[in-house]
Amino acid sequence: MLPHEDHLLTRRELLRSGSMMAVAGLGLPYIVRASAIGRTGRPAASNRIVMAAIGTGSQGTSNLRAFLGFREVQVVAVCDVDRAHSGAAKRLVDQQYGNSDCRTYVDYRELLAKESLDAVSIALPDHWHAIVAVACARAGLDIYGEKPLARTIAEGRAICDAVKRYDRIWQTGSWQRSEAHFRRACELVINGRIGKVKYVEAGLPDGSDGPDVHLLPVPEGLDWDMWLGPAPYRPYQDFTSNGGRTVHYQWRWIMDYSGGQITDWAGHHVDIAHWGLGLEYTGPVEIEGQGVYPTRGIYDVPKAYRCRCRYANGIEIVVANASQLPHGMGTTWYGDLGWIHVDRGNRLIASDQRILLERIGPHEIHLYQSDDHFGNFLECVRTRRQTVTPAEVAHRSISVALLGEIAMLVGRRIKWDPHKEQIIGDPEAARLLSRPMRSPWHI
Amino acid sequence: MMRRTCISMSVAVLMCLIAGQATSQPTDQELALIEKALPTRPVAEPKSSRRLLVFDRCDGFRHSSIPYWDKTLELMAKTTGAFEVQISSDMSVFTQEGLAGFDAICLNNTTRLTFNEQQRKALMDFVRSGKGLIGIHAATDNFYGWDEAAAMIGARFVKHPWTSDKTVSIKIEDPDHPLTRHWHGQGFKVNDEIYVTYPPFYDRSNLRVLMSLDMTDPQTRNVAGVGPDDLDTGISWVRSFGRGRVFYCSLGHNHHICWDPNTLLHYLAGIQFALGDLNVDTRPLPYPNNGRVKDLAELLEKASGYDFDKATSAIYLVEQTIRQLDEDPAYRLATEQLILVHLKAPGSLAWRSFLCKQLSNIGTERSVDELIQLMKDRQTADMAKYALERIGGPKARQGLLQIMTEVPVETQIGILSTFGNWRDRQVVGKIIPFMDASDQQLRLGAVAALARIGSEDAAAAILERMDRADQSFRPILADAALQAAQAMAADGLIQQAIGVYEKVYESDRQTYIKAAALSGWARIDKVNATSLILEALSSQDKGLAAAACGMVDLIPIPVGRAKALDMIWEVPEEGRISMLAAVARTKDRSLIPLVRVLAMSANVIVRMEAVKTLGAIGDWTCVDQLAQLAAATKGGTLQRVARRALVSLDGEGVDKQLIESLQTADPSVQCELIIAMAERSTPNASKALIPLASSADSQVRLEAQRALGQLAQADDLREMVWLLWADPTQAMEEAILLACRRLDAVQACTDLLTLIYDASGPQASKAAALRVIGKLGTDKGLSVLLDQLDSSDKATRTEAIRALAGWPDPRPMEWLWQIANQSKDQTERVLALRGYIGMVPMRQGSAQQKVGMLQKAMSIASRDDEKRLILSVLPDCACMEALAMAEDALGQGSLKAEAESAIVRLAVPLIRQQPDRVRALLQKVRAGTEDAFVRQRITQILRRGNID
Repeated sequence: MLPHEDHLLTRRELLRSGSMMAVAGLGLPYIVRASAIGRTGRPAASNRIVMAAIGTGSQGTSNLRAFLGFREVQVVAVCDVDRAHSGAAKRLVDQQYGNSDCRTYVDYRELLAKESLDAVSIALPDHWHAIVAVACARAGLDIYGEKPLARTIAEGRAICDAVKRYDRIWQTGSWQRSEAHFRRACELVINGRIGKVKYVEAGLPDGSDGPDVHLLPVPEGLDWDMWLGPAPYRPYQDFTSNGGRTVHYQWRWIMDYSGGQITDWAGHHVDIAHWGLGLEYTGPVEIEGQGVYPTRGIYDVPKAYRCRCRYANGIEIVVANASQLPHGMGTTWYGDLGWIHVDRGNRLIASDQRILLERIGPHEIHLYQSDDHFGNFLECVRTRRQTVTPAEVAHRSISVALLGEIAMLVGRRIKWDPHKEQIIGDPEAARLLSRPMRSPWHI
Repeated sequence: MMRRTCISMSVAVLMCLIAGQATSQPTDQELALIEKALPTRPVAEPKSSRRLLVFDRCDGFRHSSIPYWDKTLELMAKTTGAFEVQISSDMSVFTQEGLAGFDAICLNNTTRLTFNEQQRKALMDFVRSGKGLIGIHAATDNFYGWDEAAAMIGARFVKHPWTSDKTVSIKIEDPDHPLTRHWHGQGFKVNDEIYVTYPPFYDRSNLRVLMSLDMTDPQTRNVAGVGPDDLDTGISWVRSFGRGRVFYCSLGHNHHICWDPNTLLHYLAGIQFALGDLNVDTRPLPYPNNGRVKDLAELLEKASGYDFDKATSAIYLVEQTIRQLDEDPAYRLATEQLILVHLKAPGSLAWRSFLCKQLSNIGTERSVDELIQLMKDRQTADMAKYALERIGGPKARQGLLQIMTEVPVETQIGILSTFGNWRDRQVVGKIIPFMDASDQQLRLGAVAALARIGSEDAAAAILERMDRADQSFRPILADAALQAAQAMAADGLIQQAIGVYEKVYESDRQTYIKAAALSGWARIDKVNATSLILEALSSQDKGLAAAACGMVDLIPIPVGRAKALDMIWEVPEEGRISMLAAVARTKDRSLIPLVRVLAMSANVIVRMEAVKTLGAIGDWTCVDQLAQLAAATKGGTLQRVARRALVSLDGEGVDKQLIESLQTADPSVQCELIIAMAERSTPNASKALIPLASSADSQVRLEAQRALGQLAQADDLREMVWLLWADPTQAMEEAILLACRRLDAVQACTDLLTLIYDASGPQASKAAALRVIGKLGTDKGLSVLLDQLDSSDKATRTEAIRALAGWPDPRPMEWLWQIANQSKDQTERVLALRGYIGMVPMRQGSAQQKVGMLQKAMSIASRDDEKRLILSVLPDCACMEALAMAEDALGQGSLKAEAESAIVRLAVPLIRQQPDRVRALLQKVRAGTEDAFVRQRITQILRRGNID
């Protein structure tokens, strides 16, 4: 092949086909935030990673801001079923680039059909995750997707399969993995610094009761039917408890859209628990749980919950709302030589502080080092390496919470085959592994 | 044909002969018994003169009780005047005209009646139009092949484990009902034959069951042939059918039933109901009619007004009750039936959706018919599907297939998606035609379903259409084919999956789809993976070649991988990183030489990736190269990468090589080797490092000293102490301390240091030794330090005081106190006081005692620094005295911030002891502070105090 042969292939197509060169000539294959080196030296437009944001509510906008901070990224479009959201996101993008080029969409399908993208950032209510993520993978895009991976185990599996089918790069919004003290905690645990671990606690936030139903006219600019998508029909209403008159954010306390705090946070502290134990590609074999459910109001996910998950190697992970656990929020591993607790805010403590001074030798396990969660994604888009939180790993952390949800709902212990991903001997519980979708939506 | 008819006829004759005696008429004595038992007046006044057709034909078994019942009904008509009777066994009566004069038909133990089309219509029309149907005992042994009629009468015979010689217990389910109230709710025992019938004909969501077998009676329960499915065996029931009325009672095999007064009264009321004279409640009852089910029924009743704008409490109660459903089959059945009763009744969409959700969790085949009905209405279709998809099973499949063509497109898409989620291979043939539908969404739905099912025939149908599809549809079909192949591979159908991948790979033009096909194929085809990927690497399709680079790890044989790596300069630039990343995943050591060459490349990107890859697959042969690289790229990203690679090198001989290379390397390379050794905790490295710790090169010296902290062995300590003496650097002090703690050698090391200290030497060396002795904190070290307090040399004394002040336990406190009070030297006083203050919390004793010491310290402290230090340790002596001391300090402007902080920290443990005092103080601090964090923290504490 001649080195200067003129190919018809565009750079976009190259990216889709699964390979993309590093920032040519700069000698810096690592992705650097614009803030770190100023505005100069931005890669030529043809070398930037062209992105769109699907879902630009609170989390989506926060992720969008992060991506805008990378000089290698060019955000060209935003998509949201609420025009108020997409409008605000467009202003943000346009302000960053000093133009008015950012395009807005209501329907992700139109976005995918019209835009020539390399990657997307998805931050939608959980019930939408699978449909959009699979569509993006099918379109050959790399994906930064929010946790939890999906609303159900079946939907999570569909995402993993689609990502694998096209060799896509996937980063989950489980950003704690890119915080040094979380990684440090996990490395200490996985290398036996607290001995053999038998028991783990993952403390997630407490839930609460919701407001009474309050139907409202659909706000101007919101496509309510599209917001509902595959979820059962319900008329537009106020999901907030403080008179916010909106459905955004607070949908996560309603089972049609999310499993509540336990599924909202499993992608963080359960994920970390798995990471420290090397269990991130498997799951529990037995799950039991109790939940306290609201008796009034529109929220129907558990306010308090406690799920006990036993793994094939005998380890038990208890996932519960923080008030029920001695260490509260965060992950705590208990080994026969001591314990380690890790949480946000740089909190890393142990039964004996000397444990925290231990070094990890070269022949021991060194966990994936990512120091910037978004940067790690972008770097992997370039190098085609796996990210610090690939889809399969996210699928396994949310599976724990989803199985806990099922165990609480059916009120009995369930047995799980983590390899086949099947509930054993309980067809009624097995029904809850998926949620039938409202027509015409399907994966 | 003829012969068979003859046989069956002769069987019938034979049966009549056998039953000959039994078919005889009741004797006079028996007639007297019947007459005596019969009611003498109607239960309700007839609204007009009523005519009852008693039909007693048998095409199957003929019961001997038939003439008894014929007679009983004739007599009943006379004694009560409620109706007139006409008896017939001629099928020709079933015409519109033939039935015209009757108000009801009573099937007196008829068996296996066969109705032709006209006769069927006549009977159906008769009942639906508002007339009555009564069944006695074997009346349910009919309507084979005519489900609608079996459902109308509410049963079809299955078996009769309770034969005519058995005595069974019967319970009254509906004690206040006009047909049963004469039993006053008292169950009874009866000697009779009882029929078992099953759903769907015996369906409690349609029937109001008045009596049933009492299975709590062991004599009834423990009869041979009675299984768990027979727990609900109804005895009598009423129902509405169209505008008509149906009454059935199972009693009446044995003749003596005809002279049981209560049963006869039951029949009379039932007949009068059927005739239209007795108005009774026919709404289905919850079953079993016990407390638990009644409770659920009540909850459902209360919740049934639910709508989207209504409060949720009532439906939550229902939901929670249903969630607690246990294994008790009767209760499960009852729950499902109750839901169905409500689903059939009018209700809001929200309510029906809610009920469908409940069925999605606990529904069974019994719910399928009703849900299929709801599928036909677009409004309820989605939620009906919600339930049906989860219930599953052949009946649901059949029901969905039946309505598939008659429902709107959106519903069709939903059904397709359900078939897909079931991965139901049996419906593939039914789905395929929808791929050619004119509606695009419908087409997509069919393709998605087939892709999910992923059977061979599904894949074949997808592939077949792929070639002739237009530009927009083709990628969708290609994706579906890939998805199907993925499913096949997972199901173990490897050859079939390969076939699909091959077809997509060969025929698709879109690079990313081609690449996906190649990757899927190479993953499962060990035989061809090598040639496939190598070919793709040199493909004219640049994108495909680049994608293939990332698949090098899928090549199963090392030679193939080496070939691929050899092509790195021929593949598109964009693929080189992913090729090296793929090589890293292989952990294939045979590729090391090739990668080492790339690690020297002028192409900086390839070089960087190659270095990383060496870190993953490299061995001892890479040591020198990586160390040299790290040394040559000072401060750059490449240095970071090379260092990390050197540390992560695995396999035998790496550490040995590091030590060996140390002997001959240049100083800058030596530094890299030493850094790597320290990181790796290289064993047996200290002997090589000791000489370097006094190297002429300052950087080498520093790195070697640092590394010794990590790597020194017990017998190296002597050397290290000498080195410290010779060249007292901070790095060596730290190395000795670290090594001592690591090796648990503090005593031995103190001995060494003491020994050397007593020798004469430079001041700096002595000071360094004292510092280390102090930090090691041994008994011997303490006495050495105390001895130095008398030293005439000021520097020595100061160093000793400094070491004592940093002592790890409170033993030197008394000496420090003396110095703080008595020394003439300001520096010595300050050092000693600071040490003293720091040791107060470590001391044994009560918090009050400790606060006493701190007060003493406060009284001699001359500088704010020490006063602040005192305030900062106060919270470690939690008692009210400490709080008072902090409060005193509040007034001194320069101490205010520390005082506030101390009060806040003390408040947490003390607020329970003296809530009022602590709260008052906190409020005072909150009012006076300028620190927002303090304010916020106080607010938190005060709030928490309330909850406690």
